[in-house]
Amino acid sequence: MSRFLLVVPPLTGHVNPTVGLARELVARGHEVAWTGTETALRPLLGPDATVFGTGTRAFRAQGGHGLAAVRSLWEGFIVPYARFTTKALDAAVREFRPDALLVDQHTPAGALVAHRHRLPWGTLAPGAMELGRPFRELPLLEEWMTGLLLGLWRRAKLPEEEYVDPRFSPALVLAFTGPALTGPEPVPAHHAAVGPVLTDRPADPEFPWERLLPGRRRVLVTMGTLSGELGADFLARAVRALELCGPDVQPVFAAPGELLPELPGHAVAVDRAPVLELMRRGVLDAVLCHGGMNTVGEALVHGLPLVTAPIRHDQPFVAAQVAAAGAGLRVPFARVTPDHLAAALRSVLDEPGYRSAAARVGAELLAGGGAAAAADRVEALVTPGAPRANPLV
Amino acid sequence: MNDRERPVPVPPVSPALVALLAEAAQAPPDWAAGVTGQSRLDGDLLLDETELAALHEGLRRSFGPSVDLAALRAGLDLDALEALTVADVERLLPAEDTR
Repeated sequence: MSRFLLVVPPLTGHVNPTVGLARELVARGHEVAWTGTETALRPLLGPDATVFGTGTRAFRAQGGHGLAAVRSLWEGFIVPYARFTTKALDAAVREFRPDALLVDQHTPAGALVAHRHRLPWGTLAPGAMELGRPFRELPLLEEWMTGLLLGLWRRAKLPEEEYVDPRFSPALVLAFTGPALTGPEPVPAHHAAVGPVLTDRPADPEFPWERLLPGRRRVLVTMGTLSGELGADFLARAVRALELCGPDVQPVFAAPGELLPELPGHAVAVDRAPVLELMRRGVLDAVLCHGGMNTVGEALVHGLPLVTAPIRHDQPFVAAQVAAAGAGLRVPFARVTPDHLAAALRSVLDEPGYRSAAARVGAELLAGGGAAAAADRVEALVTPGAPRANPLV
Repeated sequence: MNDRERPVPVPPVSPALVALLAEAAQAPPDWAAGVTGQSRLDGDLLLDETELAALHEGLRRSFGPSVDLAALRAGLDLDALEALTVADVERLLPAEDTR
């Protein structure tokens, strides 16, 4: 039996895949704990999960677009969150005494603490953002990111000559995608693309299943954490586009009610939809989403074609991968008109090629092995019976 | 109105470049009217990395490999990338193609 500590940011899309991985590890007799902002993690992990809280402080909301979003992510979240959590992470390691840490790419402090205590650590790459080095064509931007990470390394008083990029463990980089999306280029042996690890998310308990009309084709609209005017504006265009699709198409919106305009009578809207259950029951025909890795993976393994309207971070890259695989179409979030969006939706609904490509890509993603393959790789981080490099932890 | 108060006329952007921008952006027809030389590719036109890659390909296809937006961007830091405008791209075009 080994103990694994999962270091995750307080972001739903990053926490969800770890739930399925943790379940698999626990089923194999291991002990698992999380560390992070408990107020954000607890609702996602449930009352029984072991969580070492790192304290609560408001960080800049994830917002903006393009490079402004990149700046905001790094300067407003990754760096200050790492600074804020390092001490608490250290305390969590001393208390839980893990055999290995699994560290999200957005929480580099976990890698610093693991390095300090000479503990094995693996990287969790829940999105496609860092994994494929999407900014490798912009070397000065990559240098800027490295400079910020080096600053954290120095602040942690770790020897500079031992610097390792905290986003990329030299032992294991675990990604919840697969070559069907990322392409056939060879990857290092310690990169494991295991495909989606499916985990039911918290959902409204009273989903109105009875309102799903027979004989209609259904589109789930789920755009992640939308907010403000920009979100309301996109949803208004989506509502109109789905009206233009005709009466045989029934939309199911998973979105905050206050952002939605008046809906046609046959539309269903909830704050949080039981996404996986809707997919499993086979009541959906397509998904309109932001290109978040989890939603994309879930849709594809259920053979559902996608229309993606990417907003920021890794979403444009994931959206491009889906389009390149033939499993969906990409539309511009900020600019798409209702007519254009309706045409894209009708295409993925009407042209069988999108559905068959989605099923093919989904099957290939599933072949990555999901939670079981991930747990195999995580177990291999630990050498049973090996002495601890730092006996204090 | 003296010369100091007179607004500086904004030269129109090359129609060929505007067409390539609209194509890369998958933009609706009226979008192009709002594109000026001062429009920032990132903050104003909201072009993401995949759209900028499409623009790069479009520029090379239309004007040849010497018009290299990717090389221009590769030499810029974050501040300069955020500040990059349509006029900066237009300066890459061969002189005879800019109007």
